[in-house]
Amino acid sequence: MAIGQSLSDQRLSTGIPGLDEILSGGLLPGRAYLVRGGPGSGKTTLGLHFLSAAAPEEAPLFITLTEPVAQLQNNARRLGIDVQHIQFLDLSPSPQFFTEVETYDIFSPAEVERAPIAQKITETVERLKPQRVFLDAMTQFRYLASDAYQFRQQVLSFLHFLKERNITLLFTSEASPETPDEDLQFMADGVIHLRVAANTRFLEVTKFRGSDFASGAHTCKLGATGMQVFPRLLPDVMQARLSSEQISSGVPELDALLHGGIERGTITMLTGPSGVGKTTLGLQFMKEAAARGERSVVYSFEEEVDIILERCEAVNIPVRSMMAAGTLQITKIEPLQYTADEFARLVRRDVQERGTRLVMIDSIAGYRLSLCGEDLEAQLYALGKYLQHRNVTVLLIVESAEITGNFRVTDGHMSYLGDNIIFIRYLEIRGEMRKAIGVLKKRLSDFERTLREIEITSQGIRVGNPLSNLRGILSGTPEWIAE
Amino acid sequence: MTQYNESAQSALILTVDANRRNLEVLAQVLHQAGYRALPASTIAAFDQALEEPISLALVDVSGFGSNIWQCCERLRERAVPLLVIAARNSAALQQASVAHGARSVLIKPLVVRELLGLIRSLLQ
Repeated sequence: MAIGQSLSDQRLSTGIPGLDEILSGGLLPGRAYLVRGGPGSGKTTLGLHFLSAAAPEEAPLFITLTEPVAQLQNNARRLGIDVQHIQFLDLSPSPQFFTEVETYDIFSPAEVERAPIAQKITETVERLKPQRVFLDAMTQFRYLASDAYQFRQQVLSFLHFLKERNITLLFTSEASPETPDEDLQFMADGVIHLRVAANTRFLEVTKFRGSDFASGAHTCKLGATGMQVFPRLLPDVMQARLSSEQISSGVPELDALLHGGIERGTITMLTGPSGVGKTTLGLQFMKEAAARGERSVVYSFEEEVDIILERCEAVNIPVRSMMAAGTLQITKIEPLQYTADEFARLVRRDVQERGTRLVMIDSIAGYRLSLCGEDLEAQLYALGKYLQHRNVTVLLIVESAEITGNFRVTDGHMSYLGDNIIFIRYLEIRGEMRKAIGVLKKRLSDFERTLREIEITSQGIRVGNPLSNLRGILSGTPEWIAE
Repeated sequence: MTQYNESAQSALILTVDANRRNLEVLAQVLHQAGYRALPASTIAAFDQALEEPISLALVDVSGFGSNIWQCCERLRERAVPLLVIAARNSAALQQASVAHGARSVLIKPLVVRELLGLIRSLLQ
């Protein structure tokens, strides 16, 4: 991602790290930006973040035409946003406006109200000399203009007034299909859209004069600490570094099956029916990684951490001591708590800040069910590519629907994601249920074409010799070949 | 937009309107243009105001009965130029206004710039 590539231009933080990242570092100073969105989409919150990110000498100014100041300050405090340095100019109607029995009709409101409001704004700006101004909402001026032309002229002249003073302005618009705000979008130097769809909040930048930005809809959250934005992970253009370094599983027979192990920085799909031991197999690779001092993270979408711990300890994978040593982290992802962007950010942080080398996502179905948002598969692809480019080895757990019988690698079209596909399956051999492991695809090296028997015992994973005297293995009911 | 001249004694303009908010807004506009406004929201107040040296009268006839026309007559007797303000225009209203001495009839909402232009020309 292109973050702050041209360091010559100075950027103003919006107070929201994720948004700064989308804006290639922040807003360009001395310009006017439009924040648009429906009711409750977080426009005012974004504005509060923007002002609170200012240094006190920037004298941030909040001009409100709708919400009373006391209420704004209250809400900000509740979100933990520091409004101490923010000056407020209250132009919202006073309660007396409603109780006044008589209203004037001798002049139009545009004639009466506009001049004093404009005057107050001018006076306040001249007096406080703010560097950052947030105006909520510009569309109020529409009611004070006699026609669309007047409104446009007034807004342009207002923007010019601020630009002359090198003030960075964020202004909101209350847009709806009935009152479109295209005119404001044309006039602004940048446009930030906020929208809510299917319980998920999105932020999208569609215009940013003089700067690059991350396009597309990014998810955001309005929570107890205000607004958080999670930039969407785009498959980056960086060339994949293919290494030939192989990661051993620690089980010699399994390494033999893989002709040495799996390559670092590849995506491996571990597929098989429920309960066959996919997660355990993945953790076996992590156990070996821990022995080399590498850090691994498991993102569990299905099982609770305790259950994983119990099961691993029972098969001689010392997860507890690995966790204590900091070479393993198991993170349970609660359903519908995260958007795909947010999850991606979590993974990126584990990689960038904690140096994680091995990542397991357990499982793709859980990922798809648990995360909110759109285009989940595309986002998983982007995440996989991101990890690959950072030479992180990825294990994806894929549950196949059939317990036995005809073979299918994955549901849907996910198999293109994997550089390697390892499968475990049940076999019926002479009336007994056994398990076999095999490799279906390996992009960077050759592999054994035969299956081997796999057992998960209290001593650990045990893999047998090649089952070369069986046929019809993929059908699930193999036969011995009489020799 | 307007020249404010403090030194000269500014013209006193009688404003008659049954709506007090209108009187306030009108007074604001006139003050800004450098005039003094003398508000009257009832006929009684109007009678009292006649004692003052009025240069011009703005009479909003809406909200008053037909006795507002007598007020207009009295202004004419004193040779005070007079503008009638009304909510909507009609031939009857136009006729009555002119018959009772109005120089012109203005329809609400007024345009500040036009009103001030008219006042200026009437006061010259």
